[in-house]
Amino acid sequence: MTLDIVALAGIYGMYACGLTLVFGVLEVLNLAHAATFAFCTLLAMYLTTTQAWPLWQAALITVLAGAVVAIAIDRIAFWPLRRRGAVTAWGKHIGPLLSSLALATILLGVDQVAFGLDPRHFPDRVLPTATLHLGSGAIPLVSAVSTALFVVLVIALTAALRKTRWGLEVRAVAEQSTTAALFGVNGERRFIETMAVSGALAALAGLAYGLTFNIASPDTSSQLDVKGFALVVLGGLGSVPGSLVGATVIAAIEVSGAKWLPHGTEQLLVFGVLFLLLVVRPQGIFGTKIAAGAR
Amino acid sequence: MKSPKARFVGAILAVPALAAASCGGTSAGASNGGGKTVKIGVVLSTSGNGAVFGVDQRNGVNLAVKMINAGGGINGRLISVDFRDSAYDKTQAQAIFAKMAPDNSIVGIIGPTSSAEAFAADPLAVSAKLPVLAISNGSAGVPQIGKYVHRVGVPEPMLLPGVAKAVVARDHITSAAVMYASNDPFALTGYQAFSKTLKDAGVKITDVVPYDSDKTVNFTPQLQTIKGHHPQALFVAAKSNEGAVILRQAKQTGLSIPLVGNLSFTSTALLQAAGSAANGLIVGATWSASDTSALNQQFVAQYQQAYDKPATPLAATAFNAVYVIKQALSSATTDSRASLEQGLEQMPGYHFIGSAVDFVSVGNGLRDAATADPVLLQAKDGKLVPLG
Repeated sequence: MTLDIVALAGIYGMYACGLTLVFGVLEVLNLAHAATFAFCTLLAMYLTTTQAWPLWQAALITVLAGAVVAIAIDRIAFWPLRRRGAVTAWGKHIGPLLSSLALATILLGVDQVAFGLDPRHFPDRVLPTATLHLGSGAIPLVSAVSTALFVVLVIALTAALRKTRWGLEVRAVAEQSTTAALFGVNGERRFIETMAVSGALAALAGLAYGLTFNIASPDTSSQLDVKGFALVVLGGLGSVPGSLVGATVIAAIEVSGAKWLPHGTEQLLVFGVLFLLLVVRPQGIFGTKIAAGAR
Repeated sequence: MKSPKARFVGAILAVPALAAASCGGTSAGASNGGGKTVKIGVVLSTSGNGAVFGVDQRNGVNLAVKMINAGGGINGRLISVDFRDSAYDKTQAQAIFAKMAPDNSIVGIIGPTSSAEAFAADPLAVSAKLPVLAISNGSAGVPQIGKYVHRVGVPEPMLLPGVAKAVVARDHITSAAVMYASNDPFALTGYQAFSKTLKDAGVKITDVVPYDSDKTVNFTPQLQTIKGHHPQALFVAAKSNEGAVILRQAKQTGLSIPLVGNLSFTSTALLQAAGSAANGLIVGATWSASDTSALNQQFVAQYQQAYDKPATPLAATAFNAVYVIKQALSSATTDSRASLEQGLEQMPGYHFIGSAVDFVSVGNGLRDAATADPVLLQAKDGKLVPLG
């Protein structure tokens, strides 16, 4: 069972990592992240089936496409509002939230036109069939690789944000973009880079999801849109290491729930845990508590 | 990096999920060469999750229409088809039936693909005295929708018990597990048929695993639990494409017991999606390509030629439905809804391609399709072949 949790956590984690990164830097919740994830999964399946591309080529293009789509989302949904410093009557978060929701719906329509409504699959020839045996358990190789990749990415991203000049600039822009600009930091460039990384992570999550479950349709985005927020809130919104924790907790609840709990109660448990956490520790497990009056 | 404010997080979680754009139906009329025609409505799911069934069904209908028209039609009257895609969506099916019901040029409807669509749309046809030929509405209660609903595809409760009995006898099964899509009436009926037959046969049921068809893609935990209880067979009543996912994950989990599927598992798209993981899958049907009758051999050859893929049981039932209409109207002097209804009520059953099907009474003057002779098929390299 532990290996099943690890396998699922890898997919959830990569998805959540991109979502939380954007929140941490741009301070917006990107509601089009799930649509980017679904688009990338379908694109990879389309390239390997209809175009008969080898998996590695399709994967490369998919990751690049994820980055491009995410940048486009930023330019269309976030940048115009950021440029004007638009603040609605409900605060500065609602504008980007609604504009990304609109883009998510448009992207869903694009998926339906480009890839059709029918579920798609990877062809047999590209699906890795190898299984890794660890002790008495076994895990599909693709799950082991995606989880290992996720852990490496979390460590690399955390190190890059904390130890490099680039990370310092990203954090400075996240904290106060106007002040950062006075020190010569190109804030817009950091925003675009962050969105690109987030899109690439959505694409990697989509590839891992597709290769593991081998089914996707435009509706696949609905599997992760609401759950995605539970993933990032549990770990702490804006915390990259927190995505690892959030993904593991939710994967553990889902896998053990599917095994031991009555049918349908695992989602109840996921959101029950989230609700409790919001009451007890609203900033999430790894989030930082904000002092009264701060920001 | 900045951390969120708790009240903002609460507000975000209240945002509703994204609304999926609805899919639209398409209309395709088959040409009929002019002259007097018999117009039938064909409402099938050729897009969405039901496309795995609907495309084969549409192919079966079109081929039957082509063959009947080539042979002179129904006493010289050619058949024309008003085809609509219901996209496996009951609201869509309802909207299409609402348009067809007042159109008196349509004498009958073949479809819709799913039981859920039938329960939503068929009452509109009943109100308009428009005969409906249900080809894949396997749920309990479909004939009871009303007088004008005629189930011509043998429902799972009439088919799956024979399949389960045959597998139990063949492999000396004493214990089995059952999985089913609990959010689909069709799959639920399949589960009930499997479950009752296994219990009646004295088979110990180790696990009963319900799942949500549209939400579940990870079946590994459930399959591992099943594996841990060492059943000798796994019976699955799936809704649609998730059957392929179950087959793949069953193989990855190392489940090497026979997997017996419901009608969903007979679709070509599902077999292709499952790939080599489908090998060994056992399904029941009322049709097999190995049927040596002249009409069936014509059907098999022309289907392959027209669609570049082998015919399926779903296509065969749809094919039979058109021949049922032909027979029902063959002695009628006018092509009207009343004539078709009268002809259908007078038919004791049919035997065109595949198993002989009887229309048996289910009370209140209503009838249902049944067969005493199901065909057992096994998946092998993407095809269904008679079980050896």
